[in-house]
Amino acid sequence: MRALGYAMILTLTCGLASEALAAEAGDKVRGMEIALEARKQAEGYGSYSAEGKMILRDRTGATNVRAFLTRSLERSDDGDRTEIEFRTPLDVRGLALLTHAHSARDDDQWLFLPALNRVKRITSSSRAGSFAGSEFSYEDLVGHVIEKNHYEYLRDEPCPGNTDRTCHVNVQIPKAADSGYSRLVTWLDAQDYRTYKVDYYDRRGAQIKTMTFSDYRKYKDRFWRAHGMAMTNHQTGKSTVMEWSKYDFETPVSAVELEPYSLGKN
Amino acid sequence: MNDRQPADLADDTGQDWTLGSDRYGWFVLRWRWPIIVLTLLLVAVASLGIMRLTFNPDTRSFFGPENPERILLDRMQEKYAKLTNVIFVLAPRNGDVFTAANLRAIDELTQKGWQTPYVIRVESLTSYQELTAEGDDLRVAPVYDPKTALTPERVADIRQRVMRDRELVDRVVAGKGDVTAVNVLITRPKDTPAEVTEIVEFAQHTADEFRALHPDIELRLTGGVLADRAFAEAGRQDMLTLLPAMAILITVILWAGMRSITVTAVTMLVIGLTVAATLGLYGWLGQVLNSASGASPAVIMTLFFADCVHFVTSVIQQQARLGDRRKAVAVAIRINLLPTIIKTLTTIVGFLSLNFSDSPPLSELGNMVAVGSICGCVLTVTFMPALLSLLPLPERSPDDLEHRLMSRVASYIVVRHRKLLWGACLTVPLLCVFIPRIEIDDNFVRYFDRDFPFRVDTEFMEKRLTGLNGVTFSVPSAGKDGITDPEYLRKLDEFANWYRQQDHVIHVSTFADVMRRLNRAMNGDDPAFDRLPETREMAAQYLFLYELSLPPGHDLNTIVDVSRSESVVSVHLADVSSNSIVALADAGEAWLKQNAPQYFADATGLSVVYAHITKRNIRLMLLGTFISVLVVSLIMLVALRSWRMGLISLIPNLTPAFMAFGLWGLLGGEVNLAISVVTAMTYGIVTDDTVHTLSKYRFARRVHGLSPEAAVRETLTYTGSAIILSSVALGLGFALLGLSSFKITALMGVLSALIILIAMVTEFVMLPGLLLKFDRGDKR
Repeated sequence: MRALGYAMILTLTCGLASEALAAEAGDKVRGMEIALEARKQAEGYGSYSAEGKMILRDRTGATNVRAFLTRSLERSDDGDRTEIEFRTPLDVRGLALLTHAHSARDDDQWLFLPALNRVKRITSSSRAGSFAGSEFSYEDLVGHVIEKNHYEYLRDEPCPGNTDRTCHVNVQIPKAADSGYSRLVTWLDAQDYRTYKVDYYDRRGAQIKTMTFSDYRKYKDRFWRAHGMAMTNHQTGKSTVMEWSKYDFETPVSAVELEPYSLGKN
Repeated sequence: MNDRQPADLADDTGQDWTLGSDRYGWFVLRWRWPIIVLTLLLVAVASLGIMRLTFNPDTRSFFGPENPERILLDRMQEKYAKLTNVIFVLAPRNGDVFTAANLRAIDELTQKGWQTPYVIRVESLTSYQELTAEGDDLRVAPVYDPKTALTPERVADIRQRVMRDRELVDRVVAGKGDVTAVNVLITRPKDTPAEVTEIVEFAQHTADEFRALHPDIELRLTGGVLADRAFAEAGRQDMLTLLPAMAILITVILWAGMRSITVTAVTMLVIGLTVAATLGLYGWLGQVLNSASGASPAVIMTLFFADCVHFVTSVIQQQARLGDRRKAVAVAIRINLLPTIIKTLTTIVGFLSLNFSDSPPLSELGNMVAVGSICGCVLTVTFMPALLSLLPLPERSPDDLEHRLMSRVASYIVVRHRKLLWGACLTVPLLCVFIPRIEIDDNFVRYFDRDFPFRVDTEFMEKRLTGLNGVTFSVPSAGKDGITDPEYLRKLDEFANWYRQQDHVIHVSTFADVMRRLNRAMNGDDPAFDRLPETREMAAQYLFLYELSLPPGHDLNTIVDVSRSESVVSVHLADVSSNSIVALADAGEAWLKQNAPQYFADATGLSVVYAHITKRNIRLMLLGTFISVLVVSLIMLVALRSWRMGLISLIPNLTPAFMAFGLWGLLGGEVNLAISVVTAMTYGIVTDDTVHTLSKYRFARRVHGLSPEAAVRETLTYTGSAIILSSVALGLGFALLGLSSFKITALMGVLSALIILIAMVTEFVMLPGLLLKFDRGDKR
């Protein structure tokens, strides 16, 4: 038993150490190139809306479902604007979360509470808290702003779950101290820069979560969107599956619609 | 140690017992060298397994897989998170937590706490996420901000804000503001012993560093992981201290009794080989030792020691009679082979019956001792005679003094056998009256004596801050997302308030407290809004906002389940016996049944499972004890070949346990889990003397044709001293376990010693009386 335990620790520490060493030796220039290329591939979508459904699951198999609509608007001069409006559970129906991402400063966030018919600004700078009790944090859901991270390229290898393709393994290191993560390791398709997998490491450097992506579909002949995202928490054994549907890149979303004063008015 | 019998009786008895073992004796002598070499080789190979032994660090190791309370606890932990913790208790010597320097030190330790392996959250004064209104908005932020200068005004403000927070006072900070805790919440992903070691080493290193940097703050270390470690440490310590202590005790007894270096050395060697082989076999089987089975080597030594002495003395006697060492060994084998096997059998049955217990450590102790007894039995009839035949043994002339003394005792007993029997028969119920006075206490913190820093530090925390023991409920609501139902929240609140009024309750936290604070903060910190939100929608939406604002690690998933249909109520208790824990848990269940039957939940928690463990095990062990008694009695029936003798033997062997328990109750002793197994365990041991006595008595009656009185006198004269010596040796050996700093082992040792010594007395005062009463009309 002890031998086994030691062996496990050894593998674990060796694993971590080799990752850490690799991260040390990672190519920063190449890492940034990949991140920029990924952004270039995603740019130009304009706006879109989609329906999301989260299925929360614990170790015992108990589940709970949350459904919402999301609208997103691309901004050329700053970070994107995103709104998430809840459909179920019924007691949070109409609750909407609006985020204005910024490349140079902290994001702005507002929450519309239908029970009070009021908009509350979220003053805490944290984006790392649990999103509606799920294993996703807000920071996991929305795209990241390149300026707020360092990148380091590690290696190329067959994509997890699709060995026909080659993936760039790139490390993303958040600059902000209040991020929930010390680093994220992402597997990006070398061809069209789709994300296959992300490993999340906590502040201590231990891997806490893994997100995998599935069912990619192409929109407007250019933009890949995953219709399945599965987040597993390795510490608690809980998981959340996100299912996306009804992507709409055609109906335009205006900037005014995604202002705090417009919340709850449609 | 001199089992001195006139040669003729010993020889005759031997003949009565032989089953062709004469041939076996000579076989052993012929092949003595191969036997010695082979034994040493086998034991050497087996003992290599010792390297593979580990100790199981798990506070829950005493719960069997079918324990219903444990199942409840497991289910709850699966629903939320399998949380354990390391608690740093800080007591600044200036008596005030709220100084700039102390707050900085707490923050430093909090930051360091985040580096703990498998940490998911660090709760402390400085990391506590306070909910406040900031204008019209909600602010969730720590009360302490390292970026803000700690002016006296700022410190005073922090004190005021902390001390009014019900969530913190009596849990994270003492009501007097003089002691605080940094609680590192951990979830061990793989549940391996290595994780415990890793966490404890980190915590101890952190504590040492902190103490060196902050000599003006007293630091204590406790929590679930430290308890886990203490359980493993208890087994290891028992192994490391009891084993040498037992070796010394045995050496002293041997030397005093035999006055021979050869005999002492040979006996110690055989005992050592037995223990090494047993532990090694266990290691090879990949078994993990635990807090109870750590005592098994000492038990094996105690049990086996008597067998060795028995054999050696009989060789010496035969040598004195026959004048030839090889012949003496052969005769000694013949005399001892069958009694040794029967004795081993009854002992094994007693210890194997521990498998009826629901506590794996106790079963494992039983199995280990059983394996050890088999190893020991094999060695006594192979290796030991082979070795003895090669070594010079002390020459002994028969010592008359002992013989004369025993024959006086025997005569005394035979003359007064009626009075003695009546006396004993009156003493038994008299002592039994005190059995109900026995108090069961399974507060697991108190399993460890004050040699364990875990016990001392935990008591410090209980006295100054909050308790490690507690009762938890996972209270269900009407359905999915039902926890925001105002009716549910109102009941939670009432439930918590009711608990707060009970004795021993230090702190209660519920999800309703979160909603109250949230409501207040959403309403501009107006104290009038320190109540529950009015509608379900409001509560749900406040909760959504709150969760989004909480930093990583501080989420609500530890108190709210994934389907949002249940939430945790946790009640912290201090300075409680396990009886009070059961009482408080039962009272809580009764309150729910009466006041909120739709939200009923069972009380659970580690303390609750422990609080039920002894009664559960006593219930299970009743069957185990019955079977142990039944099987041992059957073996005795076969060995004695007499129904009457078998039935008579029950009385002097069963009463000692009752008398020992009564005596324990009279002395005001507390008991724990150990009490459930001692009767079954010792039954196979105490019967040995009876087998000895009865077989000799029967032989005296049948072969020598003596009257009952004469046969009793004869038997006591020749077996008396052997019974006294082996009982005293066994009693001392088990009493030595009483030195264990782990209460379960210690109590098991003391109670066993008591039972064995009382059994020795009943052998002298009850058995003769019974024989003379019931063997009256028997024809020879």
